Amino acid sequence: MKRSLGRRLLVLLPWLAALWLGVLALLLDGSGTAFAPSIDPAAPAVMISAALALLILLLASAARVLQLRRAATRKEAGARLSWRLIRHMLWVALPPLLLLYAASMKFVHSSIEGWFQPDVAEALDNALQVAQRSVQLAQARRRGQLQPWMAQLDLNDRTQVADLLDQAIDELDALELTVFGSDRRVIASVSADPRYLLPLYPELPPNGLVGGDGLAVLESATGGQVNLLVVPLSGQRDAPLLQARFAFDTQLGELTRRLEAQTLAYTRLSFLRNALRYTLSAVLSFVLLVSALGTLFLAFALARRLSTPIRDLAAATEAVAEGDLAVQLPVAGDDELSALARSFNRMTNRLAEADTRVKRTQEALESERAFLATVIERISSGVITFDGDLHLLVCNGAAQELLEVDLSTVIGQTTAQLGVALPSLQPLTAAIDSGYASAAQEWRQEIALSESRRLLLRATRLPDDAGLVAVFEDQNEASRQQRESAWGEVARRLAHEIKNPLTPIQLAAERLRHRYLSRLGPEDGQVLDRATNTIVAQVDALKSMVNAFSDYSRAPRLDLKAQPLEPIVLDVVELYRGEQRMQIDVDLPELPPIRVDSGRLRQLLHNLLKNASEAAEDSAALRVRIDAEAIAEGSRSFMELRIADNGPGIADNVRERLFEPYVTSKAKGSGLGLAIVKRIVEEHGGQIRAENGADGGAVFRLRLPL
Amino acid sequence: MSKPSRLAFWALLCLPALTAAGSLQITGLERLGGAPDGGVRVRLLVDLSGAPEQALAHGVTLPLLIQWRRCVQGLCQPPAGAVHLQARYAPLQERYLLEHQDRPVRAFAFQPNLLDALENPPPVAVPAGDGWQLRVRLRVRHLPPPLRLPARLNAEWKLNSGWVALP
Repeated sequence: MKRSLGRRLLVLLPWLAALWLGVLALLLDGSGTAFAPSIDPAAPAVMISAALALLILLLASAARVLQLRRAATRKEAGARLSWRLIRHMLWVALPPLLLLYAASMKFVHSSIEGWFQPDVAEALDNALQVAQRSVQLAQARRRGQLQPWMAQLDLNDRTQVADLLDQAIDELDALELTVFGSDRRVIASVSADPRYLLPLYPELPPNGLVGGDGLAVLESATGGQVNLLVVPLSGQRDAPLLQARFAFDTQLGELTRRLEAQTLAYTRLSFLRNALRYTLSAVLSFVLLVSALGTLFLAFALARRLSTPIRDLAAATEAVAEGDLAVQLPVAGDDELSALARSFNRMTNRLAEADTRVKRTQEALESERAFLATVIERISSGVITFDGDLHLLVCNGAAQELLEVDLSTVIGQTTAQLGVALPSLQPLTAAIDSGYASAAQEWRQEIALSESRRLLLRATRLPDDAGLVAVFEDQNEASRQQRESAWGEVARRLAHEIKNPLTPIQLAAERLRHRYLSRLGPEDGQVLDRATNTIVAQVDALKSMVNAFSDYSRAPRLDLKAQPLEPIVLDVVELYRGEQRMQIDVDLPELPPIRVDSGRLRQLLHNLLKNASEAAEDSAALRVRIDAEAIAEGSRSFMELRIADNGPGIADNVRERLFEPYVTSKAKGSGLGLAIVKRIVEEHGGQIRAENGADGGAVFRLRLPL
Repeated sequence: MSKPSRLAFWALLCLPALTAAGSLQITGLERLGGAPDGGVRVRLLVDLSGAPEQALAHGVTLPLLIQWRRCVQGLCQPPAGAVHLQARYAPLQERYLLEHQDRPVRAFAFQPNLLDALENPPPVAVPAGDGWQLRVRLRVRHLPPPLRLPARLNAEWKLNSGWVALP
């Protein structure tokens, strides 16, 4: 708070100084002739305060100049504009100021000189001499009148002197007559002033001024002027003196007094003209300095006021160029700069709106692109896209799996470059090149990457020859899917056509046995018993087979829930704890929950364990190991569940079609177990792969999306 | 600013300091033992060379002031008393006049006689006691207005004896 107050005072101080200097410049008057209220420039308080105010203003101006120069050097926004404005304002203000100063100085000098005309001085001098002569004549006349009386004085007889003076004062119409002895003591004195019973003893002028002719002085007195005459009574040095005072002619005395005063005033003024020039020049110079400093100071303030909106505009433009579209300029007033600020604000608002729309569009595009990428990534077919120059743009994981190459390192390369970098893709790139070169919008082509791997390529040209999208599938897989589809249809029909009569057959067989077994003899009874038992057992076997077909053909109705894997695995494993020859090791780490249908997953695990058990029917010590781990591939994450056994492994002749119905190397089983396993995995959006382990035995790898 | 202009500027600035200074000194202070009011005889040395002398000759009244004050243990009080003197020229009689606030006007035919009288003013009534100081100075504030600013800035007009302690 204190600091803020101090800073405010610091800001206010130059303005106060400028204000005080302005007041001084208006009211300073060194001539003493001003009629309006004025300030004496020679007063110490005025001089000190003016010097202090000038110093403050000088320092403030210097500080602003330095500050602005520094800002201009640093190329701060608006600094150079402020500097230019100040220079222009000074160029505009200073020449008239200097011209006015020069003209004022010239006017002061010439007008002061014009006050004093030699003729006037001479006339006044002559008039003064006339007055002096007039006074001298009056004094001489009075001196002449005194002479006869002086001759009659007997200084040894005080009474005679006093009587004579009494007569003389009346006859000469004198105001006072006094006789001084050689010792300058009063011998006798008479006065015409009735107010005094005793005459006042007048002060004798200094001896040094009394010459042979005495002294004649015109004195100012109450009621007019008085001629004082001091006349020696003899020619000796210390001669007795007669002092006489005569009233001077009133009118003449007044005129003489005025004349002396005016002459004195003129003489004094004439002498003071240099001092007056000096003082007025100093005041004018002071006013010039104050005006110049004030102009500079105001120029700074005005430049700041003018340049601030432009500086703000420059800074805001810079901000917009940097991408900040939220910047707004303060709008005050109704001038062109305010209109500019308003226009700028409207522009930034529109830019911001447009930018928002563009961002939203980009986000939508990004979202759609991500959605499309996800869709492309998730579909089982391989998808690759090329631009108009056949540069590889996009490929999905299925494409890389089908082509068995890593395409991420060759994104952006042309088909020709792809053929060189990845020779195994040459049949594909050649097919794309030839298809794109033709005018066909869509084309299909079967491509043989190797003897065992064939792809079915479907390509579509994008509008305006912007490129193409190529979709390809494993021809073997497609065939497999067709077979699976056919098997599904067979299984569905079998389940439907066979399952229904089985129960009546079984019931009929049991009824025959129940009705006729007791009626028949032992031999026939045994035949009947064996026959009905066989019928019932075979019907059970048929039911099991039909149920398996039913499971295989059943449309998925999954009840997916996020749940931990471990309890499901342990539940299934628990069913096999009783088998002496089979040991199951479960090693499941801490895994995130997985969205699965727990019933279907149990069936899957059961089928796999059962398959392992049946495959290793001759083995006395079957060991199965179940483990799992979370795997991330790009944006997708899976949980891989591995079931490995130490059985005979997968025979080469069934490996390719292991998951197809009725493809099995076992003596027992329906041949649908692994087909159902694959069906369940696919129902969950996963994949399954079977291979032989490094140490023998079969390894099933299930990948279920997390 | 060109070189001649710069020289002229500095010459103008330094001119007051380069001119010969006037002089007004107290050469002697003597208490009059018999004076009932504790009077003090003041002896001055007055040199009105230059501008003040010309001003006096051209009708400017030179106002002088004799002041006294008391200082106790370095702490000085405001002036306790003052006597005003004025010297001027009367053209009609062609005399120099010395006006004392308590005395009749004294007239002198020549300026040296006036200066003699100025250097030996009538005794001033400084009260008895220790710690008294006295000074004599020209009252610039009572000069004609045009003369005040030059008098403030010009050393010729520095007529001030400064405070002198009474013995």
